[in-house]
Amino acid sequence: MNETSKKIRIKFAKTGLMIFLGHLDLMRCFQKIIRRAGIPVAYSKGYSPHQIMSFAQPLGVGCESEGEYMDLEMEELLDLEIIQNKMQRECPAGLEIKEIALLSVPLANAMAEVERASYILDIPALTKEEKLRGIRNFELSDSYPVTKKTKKGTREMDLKKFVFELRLEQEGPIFTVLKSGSTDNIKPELLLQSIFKETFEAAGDVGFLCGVDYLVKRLDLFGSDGKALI
Amino acid sequence: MKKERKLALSFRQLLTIDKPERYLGNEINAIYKDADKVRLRFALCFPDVYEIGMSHLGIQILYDMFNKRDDVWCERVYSPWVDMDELMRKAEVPLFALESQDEIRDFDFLGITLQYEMCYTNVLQILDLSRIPIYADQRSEKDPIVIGGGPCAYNPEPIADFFDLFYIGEGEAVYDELFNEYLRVKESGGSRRDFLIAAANIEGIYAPSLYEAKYGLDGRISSFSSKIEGVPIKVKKVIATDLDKAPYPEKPLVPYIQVTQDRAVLEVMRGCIRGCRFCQAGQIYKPVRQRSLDFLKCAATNILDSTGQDEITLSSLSTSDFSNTGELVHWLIDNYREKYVNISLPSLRIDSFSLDIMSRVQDVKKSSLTFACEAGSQRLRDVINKGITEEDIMRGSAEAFKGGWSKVKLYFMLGLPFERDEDVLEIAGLADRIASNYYDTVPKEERKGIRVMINSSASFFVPKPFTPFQWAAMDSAENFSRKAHLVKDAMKSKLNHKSLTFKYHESSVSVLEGVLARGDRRLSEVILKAYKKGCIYDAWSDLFKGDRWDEAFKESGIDPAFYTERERDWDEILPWDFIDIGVSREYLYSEWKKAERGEITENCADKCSGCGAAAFGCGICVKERTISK
Ligand code: SF4
Ligand code: SF4
Repeated sequence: MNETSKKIRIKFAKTGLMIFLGHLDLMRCFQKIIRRAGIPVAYSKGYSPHQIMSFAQPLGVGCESEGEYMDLEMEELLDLEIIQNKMQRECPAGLEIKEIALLSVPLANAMAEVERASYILDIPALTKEEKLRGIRNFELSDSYPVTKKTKKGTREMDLKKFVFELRLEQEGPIFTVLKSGSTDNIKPELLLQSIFKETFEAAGDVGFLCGVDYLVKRLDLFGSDGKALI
Repeated sequence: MKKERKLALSFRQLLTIDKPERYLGNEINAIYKDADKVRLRFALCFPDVYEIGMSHLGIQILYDMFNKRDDVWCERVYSPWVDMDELMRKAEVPLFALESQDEIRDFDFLGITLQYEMCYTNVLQILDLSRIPIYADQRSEKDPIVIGGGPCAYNPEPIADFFDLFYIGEGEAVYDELFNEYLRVKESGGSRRDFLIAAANIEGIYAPSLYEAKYGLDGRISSFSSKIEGVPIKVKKVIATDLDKAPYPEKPLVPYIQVTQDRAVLEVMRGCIRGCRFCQAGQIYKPVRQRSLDFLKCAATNILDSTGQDEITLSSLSTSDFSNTGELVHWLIDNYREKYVNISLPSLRIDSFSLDIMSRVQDVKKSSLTFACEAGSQRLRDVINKGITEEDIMRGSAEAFKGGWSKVKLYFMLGLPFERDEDVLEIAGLADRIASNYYDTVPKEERKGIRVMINSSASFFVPKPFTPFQWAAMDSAENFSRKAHLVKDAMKSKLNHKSLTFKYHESSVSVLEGVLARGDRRLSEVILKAYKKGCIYDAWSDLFKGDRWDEAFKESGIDPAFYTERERDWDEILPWDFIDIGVSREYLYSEWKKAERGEITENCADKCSGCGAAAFGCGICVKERTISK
């Protein structure tokens, strides 16, 4: 058995009004939850000490998630269930602590482990046929070149290599598993904009969140071993 | 917050605007009640953007206090930012309260805090977006009672036509009584006017529609009187006489976005012992009242527990004058240092005692020291009764330099009454002498290549009601610029010019502030015109549209200089004379005359000067004086 650390991994859901919180606001929100809950978390050294926490692959504003992860270093380890209960009590509506696990050494950082993410996506304005057509076109093509916006500009890439699963669910939404993590991260918006290009163009805009009502819900994050982070 | 709350706007709409969290009302410690089960609904408004409004302690105090009543539900509203303003107009969504997301126009009260004059067009935006008639006399029985409070309510006249009531004084005093009166009148079928008359009979409440101002041919007020028999001619300020008995929010709201003051706040005392003659706060919050250590320790614990904040600040006009600052700070260090709570200490006077405290709670190298000198020469500091001498400044800065500080901020005002060019030039002189003081105090080998920085800034003095300078003429914008350049040039020629910087504020905003601060009822037309021309967020220099204000004055046939550049005499009826703050007009006038002679007045801790506030029978006025230096 691996030696255990004082580092814990928290899986949480971010839904409802919490989707409006950007990454920094969410972090500050958790810092205060932890303080209110009175959980003995470890602080960094130096003149402005802060809680030692890190988040895996932060989600864009406006998206729901059932599978967000945060690593936390404890000053003193408590029973995980107690931590979960204490934290949940201090969470505002829309944040739910789903699971807490103890990390074993050697430690990996939550962020660095992420390789894939699963999502439920939907564009309510599209009919089932239109959605199916977009998905089939994607499946049938050998390559699917897209232009990805990066910090430095744009980059051409083959979307086919980074979409691991794509299917229409019974009730209408789309299930997909995309490449995630620090390299070649694919935002679900990029997939939607690519496979339903006409729809977005008809709405007069191909930019982020413009003109088209759509839903993004992240289900979970997975490591390179294909397993969820907890 | 068990069930899903409805929102006034859709997720989709909210995602198109900046910082949607401003409009959700789901902050930690927000209060939700069943709207059908309360008798009175109050919308509490800070007419500026969320980040400013959420940082205001007064709102937190009232929110907590009102909601302690089971029959009242108090909710909040802030000025929608310009993007939200546009969206709401386009989508035809009326302004809503954050917690229930219900329309403001269906509330019983809309209470607006007036912290600075430059928020007046924002007040109109709030009324306009709420679809409440802008002029109070056009409101119907179902419109909310619009009530104003805060420091600008001490001269409410420029905005009197937009309000049904003003609350003169501290909220803790008579709001309960006012609500009870409201419920009594409402539930017995009385009218809006019945309530206004009843309210006007409560001490501290001013109902502008029941009063009338008349003007003479020279434009000055010829009479001001109540129009209805029995309605008091004077409106008396009301205060909380014992702060330990006043409610204090122990579960303050915690926002998600970063706001201006994102920390726990402990109000240690109210009022100020120092009667600086330019300062309105020093007069209107008299007398000084302190909270006890026990009260503050208990409040600190509860606030930190309920918010999870990692910083706490001691708040007051002049925290150095609070008797227990040292003990409180040490208690906070002993109990919260290990819990990683930062302690911040604004408004300390620089002396060895405060430097010692500051060095324990902050990073000396990074922080800068602040001296509110206000005037460059000792002569002018005596004129304004700023009880700080050059010796104090030199001693304080020398101690600070020895303690490791090397950055100093100096605040000044330009355009003070009786100011001469030689006083203005002394701003540069003083800054230079402080810089030299550094080199005299810190030996070369200890300077580690650090250059001392003395950063001075000057604002344009605006005479305010209820100060000894309420009779003074405000300087002109041209003269202000001329003086600012005098300082700038003088700095360049100083020995230590490389260590000196000087900044000054825009003058056009200050001129308008000067008009509104001492204005009368005739200005409401100008304010409404400016608003209709697109003026809003005037306190934000990048959004301030001076030319539109100029047009509004011209079209209304009102000369701003009548309000700013004219010295008043003792006999003139000032628009705010009907308000009684407890400090007598005679006292303020004698201070005005002492200013002219450059004579100083002792502070309340050293000696009572009989200003009149002792009539409140509390605080420092009834304490035996311990003379502390
Ligand atoms: S010290 Fe002077 S300027 Fe400051 S609050 Fe007191 S009276 Fe006003
Ligand atoms: S009555 Fe005396 S002690 Fe009280 S506020 Fe006035 S001057 Fe100060």
